Amino acid sequence: MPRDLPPEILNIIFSYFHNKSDLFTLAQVSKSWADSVCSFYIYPSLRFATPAALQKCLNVFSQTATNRKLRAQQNWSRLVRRKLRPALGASRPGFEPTQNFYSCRNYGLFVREIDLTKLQGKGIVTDREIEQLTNNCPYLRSINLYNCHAVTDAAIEHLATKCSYLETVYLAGLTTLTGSFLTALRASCPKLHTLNINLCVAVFGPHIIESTELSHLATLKLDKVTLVDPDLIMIAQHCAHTLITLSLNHCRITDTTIDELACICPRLHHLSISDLGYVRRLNLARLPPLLRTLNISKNTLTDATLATIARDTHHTLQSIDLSNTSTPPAGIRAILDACPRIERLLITRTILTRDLCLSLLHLAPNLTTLSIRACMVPHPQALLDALSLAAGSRLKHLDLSLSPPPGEDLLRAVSAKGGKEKIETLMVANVDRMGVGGKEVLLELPALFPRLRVLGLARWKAVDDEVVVAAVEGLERLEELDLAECWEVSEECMQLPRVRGVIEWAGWARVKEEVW
Amino acid sequence: MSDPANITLVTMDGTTFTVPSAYLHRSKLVQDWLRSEGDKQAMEVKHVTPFVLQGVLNFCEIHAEDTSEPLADPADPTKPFEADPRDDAFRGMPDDQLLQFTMAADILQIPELVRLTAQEMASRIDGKSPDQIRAMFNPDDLAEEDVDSDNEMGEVGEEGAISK
Repeated sequence: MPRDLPPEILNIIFSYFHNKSDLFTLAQVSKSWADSVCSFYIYPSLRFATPAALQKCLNVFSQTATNRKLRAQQNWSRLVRRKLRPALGASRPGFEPTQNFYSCRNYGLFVREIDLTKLQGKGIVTDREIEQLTNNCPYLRSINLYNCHAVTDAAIEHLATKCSYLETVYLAGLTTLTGSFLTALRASCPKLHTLNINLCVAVFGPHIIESTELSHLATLKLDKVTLVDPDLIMIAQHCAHTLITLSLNHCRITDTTIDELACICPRLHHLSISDLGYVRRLNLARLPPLLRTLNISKNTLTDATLATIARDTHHTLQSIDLSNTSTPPAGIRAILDACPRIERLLITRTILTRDLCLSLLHLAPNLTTLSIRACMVPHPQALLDALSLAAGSRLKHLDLSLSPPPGEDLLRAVSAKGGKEKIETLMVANVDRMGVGGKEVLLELPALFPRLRVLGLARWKAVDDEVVVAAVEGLERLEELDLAECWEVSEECMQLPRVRGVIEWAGWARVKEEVW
Repeated sequence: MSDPANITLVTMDGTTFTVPSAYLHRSKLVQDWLRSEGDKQAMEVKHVTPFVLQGVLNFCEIHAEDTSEPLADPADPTKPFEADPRDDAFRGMPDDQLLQFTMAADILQIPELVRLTAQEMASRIDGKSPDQIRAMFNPDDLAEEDVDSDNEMGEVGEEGAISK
């Protein structure tokens, strides 16, 4: 074996190993190998798809920790022997350190991001796993423990003390947390800027107030957290000049508090206040001046609110979610006409009158995301015209589920004027409630939308094995295909790669979060 | 600058090989050399022994008639790799020679040969423990691993003794 094996040759050989545990093995061979592997192949983020993968990684961590300990003992014994040699005499045999190779490199030093979302919900990730992981990853920047509900406050406190460079913490769905971890996070992680404690129902306002004091939080997500109005005002005052994103869906706060927020936090760009259960009719008198994203779905809006949106945000608003608000078409139209920069528009369950379709036509050059799920459409032709125009410009993500015009017409209209080259996400669930029509258009999907990444065909009766195979084979970029409740599709087809069947909803939530 | 019918290659110890230039149409190094200006008497291939160059030229001769598209990246995971029965001689050779071939292929920039040899090497390493891999490779090369921490500890110990 040549001694000076060039690193480029090593790298070519290493590039045939795709399994992380194999790479860990290679990294233990020698120092130059370890450098090569660590700098190119062990990526700075750990994402585990299976419990076995997590266990393997933990084993490597514990093995290297043991090796470090052994190395330290050897060094200590060598030192002691050197000191005692005059006293003991040279002839006396001492403890000889073994010649075995011990890798004491801490691979965790390279890890910047841990994502355990794929192991959610099954009780696989417990305090022990979190402690082992965090002990080895001192330079961690971001951790995502979405729905790992066996994790308690103690583990998060441990995480905070070990990883003081943390910037982003996602703890959504950890219902066991009681809030004491927040104090530790604030004390140990000065760089923290994103905190997501959605659905941590046992966390109360006072904990959050205490933790936000003197913090630099830019993103705060508090969906379903137990909060009262004065708590929220205090929190907003604590991070008034840094807060950019605030999410308060399902919180028990009132609309007057939102008005105050608008004054307190001048830099707020993204505000989400969906489903404020304690407010019967959402009446907003003021909105932050730089607001770009507004989600007020599932509230009943007053006319004054609609006027406020049109008045305060018409320069900046880029994304608005008015789903399930029972807003009259004229109100929505007023907003759309006032805010010409809207790119993302979600108007589930509204009445798409001819006037509203005209507003859509007016917005069409800017729209990138449009959801008209479950809308009533008195004039289908006006909608088809608007859609084909929008699809011809910048539209990328489109949700047409539960729309009354026949699915066939919808798809052809969208594809007609250039939508073919642009559409990446297409949701057409449940468009064919009447019968088993539209199979021809489904077979043509790869030709109509060659760039699709996500396709939803849930509850479309015409979908069968032939359609699924055509879509999976024809669409090169397809990442996810949703076939929920497509009963004509056989079990074998549901097992195809990239196909999501009836039961698996976990990935669906992720897509929804990213795209919609 | 017309293509000569034959190319003469000179190895590290001066042995010369003359082969038809069609054999080397996959070698980017040779193609660049042909395109470049200057004297076209013989091309020096340093760092390559005659035995290895002979093997590489055998490979080129076997594949001279291939019409497949040239590989851009030898480790491209999207291109499935199918074992060619004509290359079995390369799969049977010892580790040491295999790595020399990999290096020669890398120097001559023949991506097909790089892929063949590197993948064979990878499949030999696959599934072995670090100790076994170290036995495959030169152990002298690996003994220097992590000695620095020992030395530091030793140094500190000596200094401490002196200051007392």
